[in-house]
Amino acid sequence: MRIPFDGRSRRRAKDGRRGAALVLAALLCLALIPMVGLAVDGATAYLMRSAVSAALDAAVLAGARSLNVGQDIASQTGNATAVAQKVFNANLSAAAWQMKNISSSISVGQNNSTHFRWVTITASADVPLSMSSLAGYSSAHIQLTATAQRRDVNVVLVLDHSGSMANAMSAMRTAATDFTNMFAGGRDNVGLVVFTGSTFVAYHLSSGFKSDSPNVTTMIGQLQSNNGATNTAQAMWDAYGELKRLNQPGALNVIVLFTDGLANTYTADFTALISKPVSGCTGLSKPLVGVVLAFSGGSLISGLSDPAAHSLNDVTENRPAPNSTGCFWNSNTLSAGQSLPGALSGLPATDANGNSTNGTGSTTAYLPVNLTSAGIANSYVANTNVTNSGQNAFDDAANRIRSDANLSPLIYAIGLGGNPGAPPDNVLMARIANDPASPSFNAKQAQGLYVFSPSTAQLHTAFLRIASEILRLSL
Amino acid sequence: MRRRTGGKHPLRSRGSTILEFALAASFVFLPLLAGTATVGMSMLRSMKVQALNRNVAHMFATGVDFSQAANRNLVLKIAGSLHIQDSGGSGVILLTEIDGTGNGQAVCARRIVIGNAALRASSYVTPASSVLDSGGAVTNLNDPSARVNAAFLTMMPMSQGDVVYLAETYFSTSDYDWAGFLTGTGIYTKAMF
Repeated sequence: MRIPFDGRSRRRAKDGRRGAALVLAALLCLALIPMVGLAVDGATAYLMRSAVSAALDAAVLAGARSLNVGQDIASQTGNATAVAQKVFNANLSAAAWQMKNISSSISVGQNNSTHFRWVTITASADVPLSMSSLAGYSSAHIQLTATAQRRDVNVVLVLDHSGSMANAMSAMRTAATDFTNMFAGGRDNVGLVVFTGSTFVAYHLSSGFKSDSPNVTTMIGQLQSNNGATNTAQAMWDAYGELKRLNQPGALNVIVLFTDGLANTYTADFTALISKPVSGCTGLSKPLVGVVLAFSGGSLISGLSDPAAHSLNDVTENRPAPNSTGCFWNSNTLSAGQSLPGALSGLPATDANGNSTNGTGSTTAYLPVNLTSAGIANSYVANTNVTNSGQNAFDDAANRIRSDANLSPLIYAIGLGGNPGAPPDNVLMARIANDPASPSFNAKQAQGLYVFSPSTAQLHTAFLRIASEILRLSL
Repeated sequence: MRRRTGGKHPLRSRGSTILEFALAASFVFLPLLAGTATVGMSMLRSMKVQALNRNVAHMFATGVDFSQAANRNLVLKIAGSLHIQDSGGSGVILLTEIDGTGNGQAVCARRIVIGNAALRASSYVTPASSVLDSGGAVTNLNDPSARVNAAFLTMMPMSQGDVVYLAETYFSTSDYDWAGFLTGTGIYTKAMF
């Protein structure tokens, strides 16, 4: 049967479509609104998860960094746990109001063979949901875990206590003491080498640096200034010897040098350079290893002194080198007819540890040296050649230390101003540390830092800055 | 005879519908669209700023020296489209090392600023330029300007020996200020490591 299709029936059909659209829109809303709600709930849960993740990352890193604070492992663990919790709470504070049942558990672990410790935090929280609650899901549970590890640090502190330090000793002792206290007793190893013209290992690299008696801070507290030259090359090598003795490639191996003076001397074997018999010598034996003494402003050297101090504040400036038996020592009188300068045919090309004095070693010369000038002119070894050799030996020693692929030692340096005689050479010091600001920066070697303290007022800050750098690198 | 009017009504309806749509579009849909776009872009920028801040804070806490040009350039590369320059642009990153000094106090030991320093100061400490060296280290920790304020210590209680690396990042959203509602606003985020 044919259905009549007139205008009236068309209007009725239109009216019917109007009603259907409304119903369809309402039905669509029923589907769309939950979808939007799910999207909002999902986005909220995701953002909260990101917030917890960020807070966890920051907390484990801060906790691992804090593993150095405390006298023993137990107190360090407690401190790391407390700091991690504080940082977690602080970072999460902005988002915490949107979460419920926030909880966290913190644990600290260690591996003695790899020299690593770590902090692990597991955190959980419930994120309230809006639309999903209609379907019975009132909250989303978040649980995340993060871990950060800290490498043990072996740090040898090398302190200059030569005569020019007389007015700076108090500030240096305070700064150095606070520096050593920033490391983790029982895990990190701290050693102490002190030097003037001679050197002395005042405290062997040990993890008991806080608990031993005497400990490293005891030794620093007893340190006094002594007259003498600045045998920085030998002191650096002694520090390197401490790192090699411990031989922990997994740890962060560091030498921290402090000096207020120019590296103006070195320890060397002069046996082969004795060019002629020296009258009056009796009982000369070999090898003749000593510290060649050259005095600022003078044109000659005065003798060979004992390279090894026998105790912390042992003054060696006026003590002849072993085996010299009076032949090669002139009691610092600088009087005419001294035996030593006239008896030497030149200066050694290396110091006692194989570090080049004239730039023929592992690195090019920092300063020019004429090794054969000894024995000519007025028969005196030129002062300039001695001091330049000292700086070259210092430079070469640092380069060789940094080149150790097994230990990968880092060198940090602190220079103190105010020495009117021979202040530290800031260019050389930056080169020694392989500071990125140095024109000689070597990207293939470990990057260190040189901090110059113009006066004792800035010395404490300088030490703390170096300590912060080391501790951050241990993470 | 009854006049048939059914043929004219649809035309009138069509006209009024277009008018209504135009009005609705002008007053509802377009602002809604613009608002949605602004919120969306602001949220995207917010996420970028937070990611940047977190990455820089992490690097700062693990030893990267941002006083060095090479490392600062790294930050500028990470910032990408955020339009930040070494000492200018639309954003600023404030890096602060805070050391606990005991007695519930803490001082700023280092401050490094990357970007447009005029945009925003730190919420917690602003050491005077006279006590900052070229590397950003505070040379006089006893200077009153180096002391962090109470708001920070409330948020993050500090003991002696505690060290916190704080990164604060602010970016202006003035380029999104189409309707004048965002004047003076920006995105601020912080992270502590």
